[in-house]
Amino acid sequence: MRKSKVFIVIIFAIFVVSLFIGGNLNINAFNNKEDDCKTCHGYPATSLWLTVDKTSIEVSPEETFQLAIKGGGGTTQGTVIKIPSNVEDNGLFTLDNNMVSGTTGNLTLTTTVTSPSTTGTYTLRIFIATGSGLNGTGSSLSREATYKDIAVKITVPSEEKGINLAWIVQVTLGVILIGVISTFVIKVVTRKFGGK
Amino acid sequence: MFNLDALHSMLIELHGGTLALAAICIIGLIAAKIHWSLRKKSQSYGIFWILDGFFEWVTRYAEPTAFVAAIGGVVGLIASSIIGYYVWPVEALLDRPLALNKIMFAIFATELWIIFLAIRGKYGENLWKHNGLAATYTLTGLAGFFFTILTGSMGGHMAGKGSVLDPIYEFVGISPETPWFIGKEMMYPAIFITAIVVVILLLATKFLSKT
Repeated sequence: MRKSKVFIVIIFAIFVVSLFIGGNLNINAFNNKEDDCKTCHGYPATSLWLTVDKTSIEVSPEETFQLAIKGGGGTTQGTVIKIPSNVEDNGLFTLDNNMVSGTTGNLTLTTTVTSPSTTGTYTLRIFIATGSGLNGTGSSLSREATYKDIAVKITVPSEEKGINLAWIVQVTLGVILIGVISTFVIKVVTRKFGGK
Repeated sequence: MFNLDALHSMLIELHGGTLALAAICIIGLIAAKIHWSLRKKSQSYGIFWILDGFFEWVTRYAEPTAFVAAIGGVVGLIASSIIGYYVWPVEALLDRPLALNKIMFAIFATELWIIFLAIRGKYGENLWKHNGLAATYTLTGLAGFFFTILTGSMGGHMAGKGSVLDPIYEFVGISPETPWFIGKEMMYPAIFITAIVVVILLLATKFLSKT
């Protein structure tokens, strides 16, 4: 009975230690994560800085545009500029490059972005995060993050807006062609009916 | 006061269902026609005599069902189009290529289904005695159903739900959100070519009537 209690305590201890180790592994700053950096990194950042060459942009559906992002101020534990796909509307955009990482010093990320196909206003959130270990506790190195939002307005170009003459012409021609071709085909195939 | 949005949705379900039934009946009738043709011409196909009863049943029930379902479908299609104009803000309809694409395909679908009904209304069940006319009748119905599917797909996008056709759009590299119509530069050549085609076909139709 006593042995089994000791065994249960050991198993529980292993479980607690594994949770602690697992937790630590999970909260390390992985630059392949696609989640909100603020979940694990302290926000707002005190040492990080981030600039983007645009704060808002108006583009057509599926139009490409470039973003020039600069950031720095991180720790020697590593710094990453990232546009994670699981944040805000980021997943709706196609990016040729969504991450740059390094240690201290300035980082630059230049990426070509393809806008979504549906009109509307979207938010593209860009993060910079640094450090590993628990934020403020358990580590002398702070884990912190900050971000910038880019408002991307997707609109239909003015020349394509509204009911235009080309559309009216196309629909009219389509209706005429369907009608005339059908009449002709029916006439041809019913000739044996004696024009009935 | 009833909700127009709900009425629009109901009419969409109505015409979608009835026109799908009409299309299924048409496909059944094509299969039956092929079966009877092969039974007459091919001896080796004789082993399929077992299907005779089934195709007799298909012919008996699918033919009038296609006609009645198409009538219900056209009524539902026209009614849902009219209600649709009141449900959606005018800007949402006229400022979006997606909506313009949808309206265009709805017009083509309605016209093709009306021609389908006109053929059946004029020639009755006798149209099945003439292969050419039967082919024209069935192809008109299937073309109408094709445009009905495209219209429904665009409607799914307008409602923000997407469409089961999205993988096909992606495969062929097109987007339902972009204008599927000619630009201004192609407008006049298109009018010219259409005019020539129409004149030729009308003259040919007149010539056929005389001979």
